[in-house]
Amino acid sequence: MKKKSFTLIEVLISLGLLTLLLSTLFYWYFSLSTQQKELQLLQIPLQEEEALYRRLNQILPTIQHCCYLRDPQHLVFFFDRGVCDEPLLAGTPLGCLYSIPKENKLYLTLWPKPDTEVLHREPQETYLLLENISQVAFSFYYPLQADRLTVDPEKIRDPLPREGVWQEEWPLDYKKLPAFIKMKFEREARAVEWIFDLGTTPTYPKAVV
Amino acid sequence: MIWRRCKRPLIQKRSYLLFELLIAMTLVMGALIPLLKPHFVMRNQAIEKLIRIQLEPCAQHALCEVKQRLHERRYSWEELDKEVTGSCADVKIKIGKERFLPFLCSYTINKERKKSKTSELLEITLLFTSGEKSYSYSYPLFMTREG
Repeated sequence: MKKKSFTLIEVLISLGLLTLLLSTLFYWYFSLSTQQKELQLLQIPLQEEEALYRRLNQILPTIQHCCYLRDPQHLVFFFDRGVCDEPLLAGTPLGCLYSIPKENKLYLTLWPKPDTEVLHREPQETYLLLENISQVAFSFYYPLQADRLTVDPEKIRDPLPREGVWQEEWPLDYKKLPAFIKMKFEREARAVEWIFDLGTTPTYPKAVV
Repeated sequence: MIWRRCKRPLIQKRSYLLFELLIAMTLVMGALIPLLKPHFVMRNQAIEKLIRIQLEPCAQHALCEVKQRLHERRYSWEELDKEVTGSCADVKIKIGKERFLPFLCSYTINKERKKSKTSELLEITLLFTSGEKSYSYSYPLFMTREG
């Protein structure tokens, strides 16, 4: 009986095809595991930023009475904190959102409300919000007041913010709250820009209806 | 012996064909694919999560852009009575070290049918699209009637 075994060409073709298939498979496996590592590395700072964004989105929209920029990297405001463990810091404490350029860190410091009877004014609570952060900057938007017909005579000398434009300063003299606060910073060679809505309501004239 | 005299053996031996080998290799590959599938799923989920994390501040950004337009009174009540559509600035979502996914942003403003003398309730819907992927965010907004 004549036994028919593999010919060399058949073995070579089979090996070639197997190599092709396995190399494709391992390429995909390698590529997927590299991508997963990359995504995990990317996820960590983004999740930290997401947590901070959510936290600031609970604080900044509750700004009350007063908000001003002490210097380009210090935003001072009163906000509605509600109930908390420390009675002096409950209600509407004074908050300062600031970054120290040398440290590359963003902090939030809270003081008791100035009208409360407190003997010392040292910071009561300081929170480290984010690390590896640089070039923190704030800007503010004050909406157009299209139908401002009356002016309060007592407030005639008060400086007013520019309307309908983003501005990089918001002094204490404004005595008004901006509609939006924009916060910019750089982190790990990425520029991040967040806008916080202070909950202003757009107004439309009734007559047009 | 008897069997030596037999011309044809009882069991006929036959070698494998190339076609059979190919079928075998396909089966091996078919068995390996389920090993890779969880990696694909995990990667897609991680990308999805990254997109969601980054899109939320972008949606807030776009919402403020729309509110800014409403503050500027770009649309009349007549336009708002029907339906207002427009587009916002496009965004790029980072999904890898050097990989970005561009998203187009569009918005729709719908007015609630309830009539009120002092205020109106609007619904702002933001739609971020990139190829087949689309993400929608809806926000209610009160508008005050002045005067």
